[in-house]
Amino acid sequence: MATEQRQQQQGWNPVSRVLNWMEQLSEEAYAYLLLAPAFLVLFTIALWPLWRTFRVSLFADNLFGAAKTGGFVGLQNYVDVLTNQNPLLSRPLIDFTGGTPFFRQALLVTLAFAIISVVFETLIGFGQAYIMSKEYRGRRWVRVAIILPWAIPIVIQGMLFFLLFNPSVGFLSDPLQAIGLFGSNPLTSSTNAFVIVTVADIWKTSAFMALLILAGMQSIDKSLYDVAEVAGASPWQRFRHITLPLIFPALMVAMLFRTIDAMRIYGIIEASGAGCGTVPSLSCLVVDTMFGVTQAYASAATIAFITATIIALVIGGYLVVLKLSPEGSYQ
Amino acid sequence: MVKDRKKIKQTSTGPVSRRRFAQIAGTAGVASIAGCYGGSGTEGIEILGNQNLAQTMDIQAFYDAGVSEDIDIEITAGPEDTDSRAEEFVTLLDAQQENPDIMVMDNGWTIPFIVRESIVNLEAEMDSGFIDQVKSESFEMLVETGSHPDTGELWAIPFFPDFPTMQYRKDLFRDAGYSDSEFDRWSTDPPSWSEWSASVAEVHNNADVDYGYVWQADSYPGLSCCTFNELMSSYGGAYFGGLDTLFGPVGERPVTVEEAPVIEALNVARDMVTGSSAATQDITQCSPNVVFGWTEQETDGAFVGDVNAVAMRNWTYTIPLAEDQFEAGQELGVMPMPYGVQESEAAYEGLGGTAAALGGWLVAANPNTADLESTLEVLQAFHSAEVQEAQLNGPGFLPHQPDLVESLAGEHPAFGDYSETLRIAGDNTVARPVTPVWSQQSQEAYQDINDALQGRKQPAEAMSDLEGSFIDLENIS
Repeated sequence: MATEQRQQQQGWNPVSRVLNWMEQLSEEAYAYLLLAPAFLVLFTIALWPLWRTFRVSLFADNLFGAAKTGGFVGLQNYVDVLTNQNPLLSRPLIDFTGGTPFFRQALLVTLAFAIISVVFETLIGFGQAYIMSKEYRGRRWVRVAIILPWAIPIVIQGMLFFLLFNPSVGFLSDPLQAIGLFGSNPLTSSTNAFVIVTVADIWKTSAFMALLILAGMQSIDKSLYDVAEVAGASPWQRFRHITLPLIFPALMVAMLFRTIDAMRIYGIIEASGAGCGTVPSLSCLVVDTMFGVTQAYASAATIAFITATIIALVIGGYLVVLKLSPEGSYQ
Repeated sequence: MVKDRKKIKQTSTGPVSRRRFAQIAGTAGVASIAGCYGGSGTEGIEILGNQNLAQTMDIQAFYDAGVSEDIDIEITAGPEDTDSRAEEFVTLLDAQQENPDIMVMDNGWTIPFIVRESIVNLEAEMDSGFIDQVKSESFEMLVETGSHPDTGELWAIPFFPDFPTMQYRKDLFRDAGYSDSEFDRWSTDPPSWSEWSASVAEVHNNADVDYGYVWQADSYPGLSCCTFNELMSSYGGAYFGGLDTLFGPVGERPVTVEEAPVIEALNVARDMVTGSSAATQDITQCSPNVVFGWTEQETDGAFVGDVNAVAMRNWTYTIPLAEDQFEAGQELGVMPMPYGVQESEAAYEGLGGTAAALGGWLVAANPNTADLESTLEVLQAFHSAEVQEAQLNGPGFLPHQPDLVESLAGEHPAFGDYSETLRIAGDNTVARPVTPVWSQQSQEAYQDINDALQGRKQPAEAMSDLEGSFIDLENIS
């Protein structure tokens, strides 16, 4: 009895031992200890679902029984999806035979959307950032006007474009049809709807690029421009040799974020009334296959894992460019 | 020395000691996790339906039908959109939640839940006499969509049927020279599509409304399950042969979308909008091309909301809406859908003539319910006359027993004038071919049908593509 009391006083029960051990840690080790639960949670919610998704993709779909998936099929789902042999997909991921129109192949639609939207958002964002960085009367209102679309919820954004292009109520539908740019029902045509969805995204998200580019611009030491001006550099030379190199890392990060987001496009397609059947993206394929009544879990997991892989490759590409470029090497 | 070191550490990590921080963080974490496992659900029996049902159904009807007063019944509202409702049920059942005890399911997707054994097999749990009574007294197609396609066992009880009718403006037809004798005849013996399209076009030319006949041809599930399905049926065509192979067996039934009646139906639909004269029948242009992007909501808006169309194809729920909305001088007419060819001319038995797509809902039991006995007691009451009368007078849902449609709907303020029309339309319903692969087949179908209607594909090309997709999906089994 006396021994136990002495042991407790000396901190021999497990909790006390842990607490005592904690007290002896260095500042750095203690910081890592506090971060460990967060790292554990992040690891669990990021990697475990990815592993589960991959695992499910290795089994067959089971549409006729109580089990969620059928037998183990290895990589057959990937072969079927990539060769357009999976009939459960509402649109092909990619059709190498050329039998499917360009804007009805999910991978091509997604890549085209990502490239076009990110390029235009970067260019427009640059212009907007330049305007926002200048000093002039009424600048705050210009800033509000530029940033406003970014603040609009995606459902409202979709409704705005639906109302613009719906043939019954949209005032842009008839004139664009009259000059031959769009058909009579633009939101039901894959090509027209792709353009509408892309424009809607550029309209909303250029402001995001502008904000990140503006942050990069404002971090540039203004005396560099004074020196360049004294040395006789033209505005283009100042942009090419001062602005661009110094904001390059911020620009790459902004483009990286936007590209990841663009590769996951789904909300605006549904909210604008175009629908996944008209503008099929990779996320659309996953949603169509996974949810609703069919519940083809294995096929959906296959598309989801392919999408994640493509996004990982894109991220890798950006990081390599950033690493190899002289402007980004110091990061 | 040790004392000094502890003092330094305490200072560098702030006023809270490491020991104290670990205690607080640990307690808070445990409390948070415990909170996640808090109790949920409701006492009594919960029926998950929609807003209309939850707000207007008279619960007393269940007790009048014999449900014990000890059982509390609560109706809650789930998503209005049918696909979202299905997804909610999938999630609830996957999570093995006890609530809701009873789920109101669309007849378009009940069979996949049955095949996956996600709901209770009522035939194994309920009195066989009652099951036989439900099967023999309810609309046959509604029973089929609540039964296991292989065994024929009943897994869901019919709640209410729905089917489209042709709703039109009698006052505009009168202005064009039509009379009550035609309206009376049409109410039980509808005209052909050829006659009807000509009549609508004629009336539209004389009327001050923007649209002639409005219907739903957007690229959406309603096109494949319903609008085109019934038009195709009225021309004697079908997706998978006749009615005998409607629900399977998947992989062993014929795919018949390339047959002449299906192509003819596509051409008829296209002619009504474009006046292209592609069909063998003489169809007059009578519909605006906006219908290629319209669902029920837009057609309601044009015919009921704006009172701006001559005629509309829509479900029975729009009849009371039109009765409310129409002003003095505006008069509603209702008839079964026009026919394509006579039944005797159809290649498959039961097709041809007037045809209306079968919509409607069923009620099924959650296998995870905490009180299966009470759940089944409430479920049984859905087949009573008391509950069917309450569902008609409250949310406006038609009875699922044909006999009660005429007797109960005949006294209803909105449906009363059309009870015979509704009975005839209900007797001529055609169900969608629901199987576990129908959702994907439906998607392929509405995409190809919409492409053909909009002229992106020739009808024969679209149906050839559709046949290939259907066969691929049939072979999955």
